[in-house]
Amino acid sequence: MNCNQVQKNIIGYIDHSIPEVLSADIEKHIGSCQSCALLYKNISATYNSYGKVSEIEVNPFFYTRLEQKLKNKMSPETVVEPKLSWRLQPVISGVLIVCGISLGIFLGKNLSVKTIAQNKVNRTELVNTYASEFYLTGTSEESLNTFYTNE
Amino acid sequence: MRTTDAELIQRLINSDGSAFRELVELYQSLVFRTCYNLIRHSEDAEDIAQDVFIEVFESVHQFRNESKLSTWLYRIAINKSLNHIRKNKWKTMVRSLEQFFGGDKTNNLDVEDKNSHNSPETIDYRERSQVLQNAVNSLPENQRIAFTLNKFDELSYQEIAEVMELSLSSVESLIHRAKLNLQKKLINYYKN
Repeated sequence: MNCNQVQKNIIGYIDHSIPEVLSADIEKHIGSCQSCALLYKNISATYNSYGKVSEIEVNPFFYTRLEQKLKNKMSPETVVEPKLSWRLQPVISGVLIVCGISLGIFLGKNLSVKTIAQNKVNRTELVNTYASEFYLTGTSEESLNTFYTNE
Repeated sequence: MRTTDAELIQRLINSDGSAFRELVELYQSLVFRTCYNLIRHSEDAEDIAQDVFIEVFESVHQFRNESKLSTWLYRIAINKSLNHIRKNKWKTMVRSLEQFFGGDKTNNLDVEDKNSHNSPETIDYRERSQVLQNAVNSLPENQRIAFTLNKFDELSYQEIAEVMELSLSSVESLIHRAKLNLQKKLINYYKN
């Protein structure tokens, strides 16, 4: 018996579903091999770690709750409403998303148009200011001519 | 004297008011534990067990006395539990993580002594139980059902064959392969 053979039969050894001779060989090997003993200890503890089903108690109000659930299912009003709202939920979410996107686009467009218009006004004012500073507007040109003529 | 299953079914078909309650009281434990063993969550298992009885109530006219009432209940319970698992894969995954880190109180520890929740033994048990649950969950569906019915519901191979509508040899083979797969997964887990 070697470590590989032990590993191949370890679950069978744990739940006693292998022949007794093989089981005795595995037991002997585990007694002398530390790594197989550790592996056996871990796998055995894990394999038997589920709680025993017989220990699980059913809720004492099981029947009362079941009766209520059955009544709810039988009455048409309570059945239709949640299903309808459940079905409408994605539609409502979709509509809200579309509305949000449209509002975003609308606001974005309006703002950008206003900004461009505002920018144009600002630029014109700026140019005029510079122009007047350097005597390039009509009024200033006149004063420039007058200045040269006078000279 | 205990009513036979055939009589109980007949009374249900005849809309006998007390028959349904009698049926539930007789089989609630069997149905709940079958669901619990596949799902490993008390509240969900209770919900599904209730759905099983609702289905029985609604389709009792279709029941032909060819199989035992318990076999029929097992079949419905297994189908409903598997549907629940398929529908809630993500939920189950998140819950597994919660259980692993000790956040969910409705895990399989509810079969243990509640006073020992934080002892090292309990933490060790919780981890091992989670490792086994993950390994069982990763088995192919038929192997998982056969293995669970055998190991946790303690059904004989013959009973499993009736519930799963398979031959006895197929059940033997399924359980054998399930154990080999589990062995492989557990060895890989503990060797790495």
